[in-house]
Amino acid sequence: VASAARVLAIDLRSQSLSWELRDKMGQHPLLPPNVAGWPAGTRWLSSSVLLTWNELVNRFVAAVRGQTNGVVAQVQAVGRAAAAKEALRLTALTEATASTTQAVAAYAAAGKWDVDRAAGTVALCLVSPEFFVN
Amino acid sequence: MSSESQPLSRRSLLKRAGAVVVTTALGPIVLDSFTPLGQAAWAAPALASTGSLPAGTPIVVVIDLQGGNDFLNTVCPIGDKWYYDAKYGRGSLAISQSSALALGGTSVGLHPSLTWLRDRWQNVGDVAIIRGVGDDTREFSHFTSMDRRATAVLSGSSATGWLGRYNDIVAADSPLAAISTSGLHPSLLASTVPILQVTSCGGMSLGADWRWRSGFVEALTAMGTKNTAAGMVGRSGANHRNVMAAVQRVSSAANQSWQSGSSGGLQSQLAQCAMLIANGLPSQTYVASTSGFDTHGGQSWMHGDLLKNLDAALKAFFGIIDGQSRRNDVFVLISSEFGRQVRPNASSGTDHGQAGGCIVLGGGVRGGLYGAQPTLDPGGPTAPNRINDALVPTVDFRSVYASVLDRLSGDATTANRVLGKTMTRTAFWGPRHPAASAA
Repeated sequence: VASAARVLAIDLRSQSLSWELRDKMGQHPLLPPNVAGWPAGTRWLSSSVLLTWNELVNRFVAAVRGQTNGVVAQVQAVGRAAAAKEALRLTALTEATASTTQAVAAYAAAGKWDVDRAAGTVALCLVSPEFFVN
Repeated sequence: MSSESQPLSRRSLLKRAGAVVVTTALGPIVLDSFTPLGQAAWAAPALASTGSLPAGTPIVVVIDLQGGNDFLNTVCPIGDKWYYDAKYGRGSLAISQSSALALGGTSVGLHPSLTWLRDRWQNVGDVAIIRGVGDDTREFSHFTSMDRRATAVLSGSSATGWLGRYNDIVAADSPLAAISTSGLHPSLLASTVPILQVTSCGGMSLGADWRWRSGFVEALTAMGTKNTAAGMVGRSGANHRNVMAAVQRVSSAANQSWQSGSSGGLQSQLAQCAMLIANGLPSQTYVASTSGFDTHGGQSWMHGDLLKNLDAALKAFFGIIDGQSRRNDVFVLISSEFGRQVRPNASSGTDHGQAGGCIVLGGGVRGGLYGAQPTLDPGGPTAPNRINDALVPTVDFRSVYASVLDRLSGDATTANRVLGKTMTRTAFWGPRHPAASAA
């Protein structure tokens, strides 16, 4: 969450987001499941986490979609052919697998190239398998 | 039968099986010694990660009453004068003999809110009440106690929960084996089995903002299905695949006509469990939870409402399950992190206690009272028989877990692996024993 927020320049201190994470992902930064705190590793890959994460990413990206010099604008500016590479670079996924790179590129290549397609391209990178373990 | 022996006499059980007395720092904890039914209509584990759970496979639905349920006012020892004692008893919070729902042939009565449960005890006979459940660690903190109940590890911390470890054995890597209907319940934390959180079967979906939805889910699916990477990225890719499959499976189980109760509430959580069970989801472990049981003040009305909600949720759940082919497979374990102190506090509430109790009901359960009622006799002016006015446990909660795990696994050894030790069992499995027909 923190790395996605950094990429998108979103303020994570929002109280509502904290509680939403607790309710939906079962992961509240202040309420770890045991005294050792939140465990790292496979448990973060819980099924529900991806669902909620996808929802949050879509909302994050919607929130920054209109920013003049934001991530979405930068991806849109390079054009659809270079969009996948640029989006992966901006989300710090320079070593993405071929399957992810191809899926993002295919998405960028489809439909009309505009701010929304660029936004979707960024969102896809943030919900990729690589982003979860980055 | 004696007054405490309905339907199955603890004394006769101990006589039959031999009692094990464990001496602890707090004094002896007497545990029912029991040889697991070696029978198992259901031959042991290896759950598939797709398809249907084989018919006849036991399924547990755990209900975690968070906050420390006041078991003393849930199953009330109305035949014990100390319960009503002006100085050492329940005072204004005591449930009167006339309002408690008497359990025929016993000296206890249920809280007046639990009308469905009383009828179930009386007429169906598959409600086991285990009194005195706790541990001997004198822990009064919610967080530590909840952690211990979830992990079944009493010292240090554990990265896995008791049901999670069970799933690691019987359903390794299955994305559908561990269902949590409220948050990610730590009892399900496993090494290889992710927790599938289902708040609403019908609401389980994967989408994207409408402006860039076209092709989004397809791209996300491709990332998972075509991912062949090793290590963590590979696992994460597998997780993407699993989630896609889980979303499809769970949403296909949705049954709007069974939906009841407010969203996220216990009744609704149990409705999701019923839908998934009826769908044949390959899972033996469901965990629902509800909070608010930390009744430090104004307990009388608050606890009554909480138990009323519990009773309504159970009624709705069994109303569905009893009509299903898996009705003999499904059982419910109701548990809480601790009980509460005996004497009311100055706010007409009760503070954190020790011994509480569990209720196990449903398929395979032989109804009756199990475990010894912790003594309410304070033992003198300084109440040496209590721990800070809390009741001393008589049954280790892990012995209840062990019996649940015996049932789930169909063998006598899996429980020991899960719990890391051989616990004596609490013998609540067997034919139903309705009080009504026995009378």
